[in-house]
Amino acid sequence: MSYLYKDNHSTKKMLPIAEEIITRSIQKIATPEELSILNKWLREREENIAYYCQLEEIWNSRKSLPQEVIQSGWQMLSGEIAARQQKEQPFIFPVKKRKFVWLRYAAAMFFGVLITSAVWMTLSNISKDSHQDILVQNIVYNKTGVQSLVLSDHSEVWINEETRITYPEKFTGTTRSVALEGKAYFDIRKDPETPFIVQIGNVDIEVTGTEFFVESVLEEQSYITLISGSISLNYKNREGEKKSIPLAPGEQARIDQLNGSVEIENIDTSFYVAWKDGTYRFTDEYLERIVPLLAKRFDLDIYIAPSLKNKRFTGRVIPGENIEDVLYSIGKSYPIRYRISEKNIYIGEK
Amino acid sequence: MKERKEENNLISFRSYYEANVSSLILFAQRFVSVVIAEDIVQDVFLDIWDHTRVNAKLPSRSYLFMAVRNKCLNILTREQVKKNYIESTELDNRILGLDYYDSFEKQLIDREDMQYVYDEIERLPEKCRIIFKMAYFEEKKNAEIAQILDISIRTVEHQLYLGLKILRTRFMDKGMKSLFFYFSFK
Repeated sequence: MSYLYKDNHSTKKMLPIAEEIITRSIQKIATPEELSILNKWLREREENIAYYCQLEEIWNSRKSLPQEVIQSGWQMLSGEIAARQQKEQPFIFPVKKRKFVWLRYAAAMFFGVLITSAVWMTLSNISKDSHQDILVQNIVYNKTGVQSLVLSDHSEVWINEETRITYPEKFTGTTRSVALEGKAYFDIRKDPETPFIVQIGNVDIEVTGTEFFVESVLEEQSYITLISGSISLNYKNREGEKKSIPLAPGEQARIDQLNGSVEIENIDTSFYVAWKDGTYRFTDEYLERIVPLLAKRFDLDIYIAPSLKNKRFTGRVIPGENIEDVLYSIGKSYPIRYRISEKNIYIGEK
Repeated sequence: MKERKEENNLISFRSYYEANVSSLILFAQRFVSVVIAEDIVQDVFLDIWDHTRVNAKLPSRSYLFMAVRNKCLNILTREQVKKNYIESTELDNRILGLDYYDSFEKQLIDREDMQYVYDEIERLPEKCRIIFKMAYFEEKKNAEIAQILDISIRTVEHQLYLGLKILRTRFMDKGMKSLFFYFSFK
């Protein structure tokens, strides 16, 4: 190595690299002699290395990995995982599924919380440390349906589809913390001494009151909506300052993960009661906001004409209804036409 | 119930694997052999699987990328030590390349950019474009292209170089914008 440097220094004037050598090296067909010329050139300036790497990257972008390689790779990996997994057993009480009866929580000693979060990319990178106070650790990821589990303080949690929750085997310390990705309904044992904290990305929701929802309709944004009681959102902004925002009932905080902004506005909370019993309710809601929920509910891709986006609708989707029932209802209050093609639905004005 | 949990967990891990494995292996293959590249990437995913039991969130692409890069670098430097004083400029070139990729942001192309690459290839000067497409899309050998077009191999290589150079310039122009975006929101 060292004599390469020496070699380089002794060659005072830089040999202009033959461009074909770069091509040939990138194509992995250069001769050892050519590679050593290239080596001198690379070592001459850091910019040369960057330049070479960038060309190589562009050249290699043509490649793609055959599906078989990906699949056989997964077979090997999952085999290895299965072998490792024998002894690990999480703490989950087998709780039978239960229908939600929303109002019963209001007066009880429990209070309910429905939480959703979007994909937290930028924001969650800011304060990783906030996660450290959750002690180890069960993780439940729920793919379909609703799954319920009981925490060590006897709080119950129902987690929705595509939702992951991390919680400790036993709550110790001055707070009860869980981390959530997705949507969940919490039925939390009230304990003013030990606040219950839900971490979503880098935002902590401290539960000091009764019911609230966190909802994200769009992936870039999360909506946190308080129904009754009080909560506070604790997070760090982009400058790293700790912020705490209290929410009042009927208020909705909109957190934008792209620029880290938090906006608060008053809203009609009935829209956010969508998830709990499989009923989606819309009160004078923009079609643009309704459509993502329908798409998710019926597992479809729904496209709407731009002119319809700002049209408002009121109604609800009850369990057992299909998408055409819903479109029929919408069609009764506004002239629309729709076309269904496999998993795609196109909605336009009549 | 327990089994269902495991199953669910595994399903999400699988889609995570499938979404990322391809670009990671292809990146590693630039520096190490195909077999080693696959081993390295499998190792990284296994590490993450073990790690994920204590961490709710699966690591970002940037983490995956850096983990693979570091493992490649370990292997190459070990190989270099093994070779001792025998000069291998080829190995040294590869290590220099890996050194360069000291952050995810150094990557010029992400998979989402592929349409941009294709569009830009179409915009290359005619001669360059014809040669470039034969090599890039049809994976023809330089000699083959030379024969078909009745030109010298050296011309083919030179045109390929020109093509890459033009594409790089356009990428850098585009990259400046995303770099700006990155800093302005950091």
